[in-house]
Amino acid sequence: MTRKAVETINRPVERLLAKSGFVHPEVRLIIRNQIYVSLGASLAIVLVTLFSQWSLAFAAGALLALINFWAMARIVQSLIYVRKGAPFLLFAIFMGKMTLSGLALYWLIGVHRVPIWGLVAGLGTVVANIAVTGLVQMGHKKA
Amino acid sequence: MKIAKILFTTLAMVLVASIAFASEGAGDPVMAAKAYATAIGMGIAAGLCGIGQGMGLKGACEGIARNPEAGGQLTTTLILGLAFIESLAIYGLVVCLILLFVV
Repeated sequence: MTRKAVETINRPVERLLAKSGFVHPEVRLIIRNQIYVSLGASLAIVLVTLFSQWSLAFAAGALLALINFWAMARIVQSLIYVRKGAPFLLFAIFMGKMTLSGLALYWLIGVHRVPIWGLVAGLGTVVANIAVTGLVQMGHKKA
Repeated sequence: MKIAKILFTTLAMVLVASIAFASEGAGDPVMAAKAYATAIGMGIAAGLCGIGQGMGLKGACEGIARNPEAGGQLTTTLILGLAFIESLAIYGLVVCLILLFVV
């Protein structure tokens, strides 16, 4: 029952990722997990704390981390699998990502003065996801 | 070692000079020191993260060139490693922005 529900959620996400250029299934799995962790945790925390400042800072950090991770995975995929026109695309995505991240962080910390720990916790969702995925991969290799 | 000594001495002179000049005029010496600290900190963080990412990418490219069948596995591991390193750079930027605007 639960497996079926998870598969029902996974299918459109997988389709979206495949359409976005994530050709490798293992990479799609990592990105999918990151989407679930970032959006799920943000939604849960925002709802539980009733839209507190801290929870909104967490959501902003998680969203920023998700966008960064998405762009980075896309760049690496382009670098390894797509040869034609890759350098320009990579450069454009990379510069855009860096500029947007920098401006967003400046706006959040410098202008809007969001709670820092919420933001850092939100940014940490990527590290948590990678650590768990790495451990699971290691477990699969040993088994 | 000698180069490091020269570098740190120059750095110390530049930092002290900025504070000395700031105390004469309108600028805030603490703010000037913060600006220097932020610039140096972000420079070091970005530089070292760049070296790390470059080394990882180099290893992955060499591995894939030698053994193209392992490309999928290497790509996954590469993305995980690069994301870890990039998180450090983003944390560095956050710390620098906190230093500049919050503390």
